[in-house]
Amino acid sequence: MRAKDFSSISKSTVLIFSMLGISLILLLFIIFSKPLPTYEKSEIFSLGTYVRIYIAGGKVSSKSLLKIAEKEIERLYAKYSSNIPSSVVYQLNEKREIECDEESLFLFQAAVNVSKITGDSFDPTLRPVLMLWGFDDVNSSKRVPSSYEIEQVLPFVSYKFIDIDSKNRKIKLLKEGVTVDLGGISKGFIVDRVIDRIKEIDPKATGFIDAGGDIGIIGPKFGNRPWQIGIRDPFSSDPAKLIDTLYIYSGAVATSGNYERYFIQNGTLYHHIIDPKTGYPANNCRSCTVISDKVMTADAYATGLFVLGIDNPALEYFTKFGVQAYLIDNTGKTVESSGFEYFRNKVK
Amino acid sequence: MVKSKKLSNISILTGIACAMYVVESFIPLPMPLPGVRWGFSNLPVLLAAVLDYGVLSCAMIAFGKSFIGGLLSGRIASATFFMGLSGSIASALFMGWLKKHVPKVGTIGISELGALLNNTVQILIAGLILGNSKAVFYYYPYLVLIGTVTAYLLAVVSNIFLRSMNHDAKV
Amino acid sequence: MAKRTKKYDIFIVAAILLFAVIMIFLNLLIPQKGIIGVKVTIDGVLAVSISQDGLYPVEKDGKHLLTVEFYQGKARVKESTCDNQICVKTGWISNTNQTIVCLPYKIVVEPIGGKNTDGVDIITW
Ligand SMILES: [Zn+2]
Repeated sequence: MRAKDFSSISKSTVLIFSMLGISLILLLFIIFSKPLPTYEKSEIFSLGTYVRIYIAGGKVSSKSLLKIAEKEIERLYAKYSSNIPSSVVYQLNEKREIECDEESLFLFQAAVNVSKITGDSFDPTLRPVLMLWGFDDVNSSKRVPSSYEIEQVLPFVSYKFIDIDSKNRKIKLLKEGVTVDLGGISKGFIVDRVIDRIKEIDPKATGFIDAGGDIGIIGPKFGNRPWQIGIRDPFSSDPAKLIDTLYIYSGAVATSGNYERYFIQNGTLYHHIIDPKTGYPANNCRSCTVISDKVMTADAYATGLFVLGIDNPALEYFTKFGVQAYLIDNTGKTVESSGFEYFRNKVK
Repeated sequence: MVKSKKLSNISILTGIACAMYVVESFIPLPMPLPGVRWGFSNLPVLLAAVLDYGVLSCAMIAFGKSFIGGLLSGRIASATFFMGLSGSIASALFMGWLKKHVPKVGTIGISELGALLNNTVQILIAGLILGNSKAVFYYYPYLVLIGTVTAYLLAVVSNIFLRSMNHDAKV
Repeated sequence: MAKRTKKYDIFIVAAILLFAVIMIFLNLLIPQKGIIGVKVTIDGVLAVSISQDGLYPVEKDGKHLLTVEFYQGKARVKESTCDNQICVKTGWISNTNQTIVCLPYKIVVEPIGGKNTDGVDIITW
């Protein structure tokens, strides 16, 4: 009975032609369809924290982009960490005057600018105070310094003691005893640089870099969807408990919270966000989340606006510098700038 | 029976299966288990089975699609490749055998049982290779569900083919 | 016309569907919420992969670092010899987008399998 089947040519040709038809459709599908990008992830301990990188390459493979990102992070960390002897910052603290490249000039200038704009609520020269508290390094032992000790070092804290001579590419510390720590800004700056580098190599790459909760977006999820970013609940010890969710296609988000680095002495919590004007932890805020187009900006302003606190009457003024902020104080009261709500909408 | 005609049909079916194999890897599954696929590329294998091309022909198509498809998609010799290969060969042999020896089972039954065996073998191998049997078996029932849907669709499509070829008149 | 769909076909489909549904119910009875296992890495190198309930000590070069507990789809660092104890304070994790990080020892406890139930990609903190 099978022989009959194939003796009739027309029936067999039906099979062949329909199969050829299907293959043509499939071929067109292969040629014109864009497969969803596959994300590769990598986790490294760098920048003094835990860095997660998620990348899907557009024309370069995700894996090689990851390798590039990892190397670039390590290189820049070695360049700007104040605890590594070969770094620009360590050299400046030692030699008091250094010659440096455009990139370093830009970073120092940016740090000074944020200090100016926030009325010295963020300060790159805070290092002597941080060292007293033990917040200069994860491994330093922590303690509450006496008010006398703090008074002794406060005169050395001011961004005005950093002199940037961009013409001759020189940075100089104007006062003996002043030391610099770019910790509050270099992490964000490094993430920005790495993202720029990846975009240079592969403009169609998407993904994000999460450096201890400071997030820079490389590109939207699958090229067209927002990344869903949860804001940690500052009242919960569970780091996965969220208080709000943001939807972000590009740019950066950073949060400063009093739960990040702290110690408890005699029942009082002392955290690492020190007010440069008093030398003590800023206590008029519990968590400050900032959205901006650069991680550096978000990172620095999250610290600066945290110090200025929830009663800051000029919060709206900072939106002029491309910053949207959301603050929560110790009682759970929240304040936000006018444009922040926009990022809560899933559909824009 | 014209042997060369059957052979050419098998080659065409293998070619289609390869193309479908590559295309279906673009369609995301609702769950993140590596190496698991929709199974649309089993259509040519199913066709060969219900056209009663024989157990060996079915297995040849299954092998060809996994091997060439693996080459095309760059997954050759990976763990997921062996998962797919063993799953589809097992199911191809089974479907061919069902058609020959169990006349009470129709196209849908052949397709469904083939898909079930395919998923089961894949999951067993995944459990062996990945070593995390718990994680893998968690997904198993969902895979079986997806497989049931795919297999049904494939059976419907196959029946349309059979009808247009007037094949049923002689079955 | 001979029937292409035969009586047995319906039984087969029904049996397979029933089989899948029973399996799903069994899955729901056993830890439905939570994660299927965790992997523990020290500076990116896999130290131990866990999928059975129990306590798992993590050592490096013979020195005891911390103990990971896995119990009914949740994982935590039960105790640690590190100085800031943040890994211990993190508590239980039971969702795929969560991790426990111990910065001093460069240890990451990361879920494998399971579902992302809160749907967030990244957390800012
Ligand atoms: Zn720890």
